[in-house]
Amino acid sequence: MARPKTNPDKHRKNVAITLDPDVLLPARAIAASKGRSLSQVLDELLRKWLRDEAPSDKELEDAIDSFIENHEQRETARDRKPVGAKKAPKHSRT
Amino acid sequence: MTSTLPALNEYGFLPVPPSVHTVRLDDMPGCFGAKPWRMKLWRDCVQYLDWLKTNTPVREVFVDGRFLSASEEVTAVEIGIEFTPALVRESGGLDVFNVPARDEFGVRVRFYGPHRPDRYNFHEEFNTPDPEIRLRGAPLNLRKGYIRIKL
Repeated sequence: MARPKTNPDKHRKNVAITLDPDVLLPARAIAASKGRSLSQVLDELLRKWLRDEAPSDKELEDAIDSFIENHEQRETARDRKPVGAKKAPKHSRT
Repeated sequence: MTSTLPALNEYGFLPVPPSVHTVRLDDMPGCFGAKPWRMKLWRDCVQYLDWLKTNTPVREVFVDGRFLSASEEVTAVEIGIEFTPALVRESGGLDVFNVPARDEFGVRVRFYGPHRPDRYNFHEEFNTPDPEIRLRGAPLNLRKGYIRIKL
């Protein structure tokens, strides 16, 4: 039976991951010796990794600028398309 | 804070101030959608807004275009969306917004990055009437209101 939630406001998700036993076993043991679960340790490591690897605000702003520019170019080209030009096929959306 | 929309002014636009009128989605159709083609435009627009709500973290859009006027020549609803780094992170990138919205939903989507106010800014466009309005004696500095919808 699953243990009761220690913090009911946290909505954590179950995920299945695969780890080598030579990492999993000592990691779980060391985490337990420090009063932490393996999930908590992985969560902290991934948070740090996200801070280091995720794009900065500046990089995202540059990506936004490119996206908007491309979008406006496509829209402008479409506005100039002659009347009666063939309509683009519809994409299926789920 | 949301409010009901005021009556259109003598030029057939939403009055200013405020520049942006915030309304609930449910309050919109009766305001501008009485005629059949307007009802269809609005139904298609609502489909796009539903798609946004389901597939993206966007929870606020701006609505404009001739749809928001007394004009008889209404061909599309214009939707403005603001992009911030936080929104892009939450969306997992920008690819999700690469939707042919005009073909699939009949809406003209405009995007704006508030970090670059000097570049394309739909707020200025939405706030400015078509130049033809001057033929009807409108003052040069006439501004019109547009709409913010919380999804």
